[in-house]
Amino acid sequence: MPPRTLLALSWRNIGRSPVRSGVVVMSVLLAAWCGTFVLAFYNGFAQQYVRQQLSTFVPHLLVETQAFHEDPVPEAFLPHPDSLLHGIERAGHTSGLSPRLRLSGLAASATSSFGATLLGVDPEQERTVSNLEAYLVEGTWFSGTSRNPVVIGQKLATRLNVQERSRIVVTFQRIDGTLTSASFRVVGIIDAPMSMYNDGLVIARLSDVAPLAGSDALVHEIALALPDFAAADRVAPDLRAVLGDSTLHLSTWGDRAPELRYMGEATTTSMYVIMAIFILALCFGIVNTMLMAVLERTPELGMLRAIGMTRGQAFAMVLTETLLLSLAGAPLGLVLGFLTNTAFATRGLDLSAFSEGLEAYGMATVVYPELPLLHYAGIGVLIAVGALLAALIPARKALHIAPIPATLSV
Amino acid sequence: MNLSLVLAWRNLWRNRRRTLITMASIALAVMLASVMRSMQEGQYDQMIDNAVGQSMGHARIQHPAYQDEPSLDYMIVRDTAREAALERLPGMKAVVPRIEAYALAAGTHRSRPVMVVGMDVHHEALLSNPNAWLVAGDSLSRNTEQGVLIGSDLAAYLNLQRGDSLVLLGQGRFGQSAAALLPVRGVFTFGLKELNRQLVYLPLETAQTLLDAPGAVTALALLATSPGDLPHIARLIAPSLAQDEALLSWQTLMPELVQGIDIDYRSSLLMLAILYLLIGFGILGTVVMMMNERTVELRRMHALGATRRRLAGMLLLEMGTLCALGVLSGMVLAWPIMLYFNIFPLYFSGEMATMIEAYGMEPFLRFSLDPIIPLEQALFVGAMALVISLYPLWHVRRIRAVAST
Repeated sequence: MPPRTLLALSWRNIGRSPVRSGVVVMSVLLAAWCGTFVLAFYNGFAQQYVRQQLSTFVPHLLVETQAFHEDPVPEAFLPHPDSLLHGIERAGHTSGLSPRLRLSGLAASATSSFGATLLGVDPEQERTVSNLEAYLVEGTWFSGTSRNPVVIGQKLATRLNVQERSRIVVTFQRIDGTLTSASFRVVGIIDAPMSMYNDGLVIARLSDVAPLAGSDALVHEIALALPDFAAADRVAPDLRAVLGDSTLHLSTWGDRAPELRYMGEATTTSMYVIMAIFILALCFGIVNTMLMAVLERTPELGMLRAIGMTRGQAFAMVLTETLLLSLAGAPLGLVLGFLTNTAFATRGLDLSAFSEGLEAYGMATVVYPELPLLHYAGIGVLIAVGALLAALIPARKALHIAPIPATLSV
Repeated sequence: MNLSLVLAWRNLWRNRRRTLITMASIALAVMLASVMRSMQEGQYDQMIDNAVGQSMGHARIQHPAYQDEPSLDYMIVRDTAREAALERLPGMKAVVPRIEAYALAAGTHRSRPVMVVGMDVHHEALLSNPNAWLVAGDSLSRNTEQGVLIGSDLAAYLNLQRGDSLVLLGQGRFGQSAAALLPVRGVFTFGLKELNRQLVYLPLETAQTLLDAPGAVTALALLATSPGDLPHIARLIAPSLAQDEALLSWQTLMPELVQGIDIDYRSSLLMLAILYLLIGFGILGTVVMMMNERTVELRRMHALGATRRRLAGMLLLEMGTLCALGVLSGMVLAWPIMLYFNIFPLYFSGEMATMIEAYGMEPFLRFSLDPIIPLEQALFVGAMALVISLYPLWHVRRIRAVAST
């Protein structure tokens, strides 16, 4: 029997039971469609979170002294910050630079106190590396004429029971080791979503805090922004060469916030685990349906064997049939998934209707699904492998149907 | 009807392979969904336990304004006789008085903001129990003792050992400044790194003196024998609350945790829905083929005088039994997997562990053994399978006795 006849036989078998064929094709189609959609949804969610963190609290690259990296004490500041800034700027990789001062201390209002990180920044330069300003819920980003203005995190504001224009006192250690307290005026309150970094954040002007901490030119770290954050690992060695000083330490966002870098990888891994579970459920459906199809056709297959069909051909016939059915739905499902994702990629999926919690929790309520094209191919391959494995079991059953007893069992 | 039952039962076991295949797809559905949910619930339990067991308690009695503005100006009066009375309430495991405040902790060279916990040295044993987690030094045994217990990461950062002095600098009640120099009695290491970095324990009365709040606490943490007893306990306590006291459950105390769990649960429903859909199609495919295979047999029965109604009844019984058996075996299969991962939790290492710890959780996953989980999934999958078994009924309507046999 030539392969073409075998293919024709398989094809006719598919047409013979439209309901069954429909069910199998539909389930593969749905697996591919829903699968790609869910993966794009979770991936989009994770990517959004990472980008958001990188635009607020975790700089793309950070330069500090080796000593400050190991142990953030006030006296481990950067020597000659201005020449460092010029050097980095000349290297031409960065799109933004912000020198900062970083001290840990205690913030207090008239009624209570709470642990705080005092971050001294130049408000204009800080804009080039983060967009904290976008998360202001009250007040402004250092515009106005108040003396010692600060922008603080929402959680700290709640704990201290302060509003815009309130005064707070921050106690911290100076570079000479003595403790000092200074009074600041709250000019803005930021509420950046879902972050463990902004709990006790107090952002002040570098020019105000540096003298208080004991040196007019006090800079502990320089935050660098790159046009593309993914380039951080590539650019880092170049910049290290530019710095050329072993007492300086340059770290990428991935080094500083491994959970963010890992989130990307973990999302990909868990995406494929989810897909594998979907495909397992799918395969079980295919195997069962096709196994029943073979059992139903026992007499017929016996007859075919009796009139000369070899075991191999019976095997190939059932295998072809299952594969054709399985793979008919997959491309269509992938295309539908791609179209759905593209449609929602620009519009976003508004989840606020489903969960009030999201908003109260401070998480993005609009998710933009995104899935690199490579993953569509990956999912396609996964489904194809699953379908092949699923096809082998019913085909094996067909292999063992003997001609004579089968025909007699009618 | 009796005859239908007998026929249905015999039909099921006549073609064992067919029955087992259909049963297997239902069982698999229940099993996959149960294990997935068990993992999820286990994670939620762990998140709640971390918060409740480490510091919060199942509920707290505190000043009504304290929740919105945790200031030492809003403290409540401690009454040991009343605590003892509360502890005797049925279902109550412990009543733990606490003072929680923030201060700057300093060694000789460095300082760091910390959370100061004033604890009753006896009662705290039932809540966070730092005495049991000591890695160096001695426990605190008297409420008036001059000494502190500090976390191991904090001790390393401030370069302090047992016997060294810790400086605490902060704000006491009504804006009073609070400062003390206390010797480190012991160093503890909890499972959560975050706590080891920022916790300092003081004996209750020492803390009261430091913060200028004699006889006062910020909260009474209540621990129930089982969280389910909570509403009952709340009803018993309500009449005894003073004017400036409020009883808050952990859900009110930690809204972020409740919302976080809610969001996670909702987003997982999407995945469960797809899983159900695929499994549903699998079952439908199997049932469709089962009916195809049996068309000849049903025609013969119809020709021999069985009405369509009787055939339908018989098929419904068959499907019902099949669903019940499938669902049951799914539950039976899911249980050992849940049990295994409950006894031997999944431990994470490397970067995964770092990520989990960064979010304030312990790096292992203990599956939940809540019997509601497989029951819920069984009901859901069972209902789905029964809807699918409407297909045979629809199929029977088209059976013609004379078409062919």
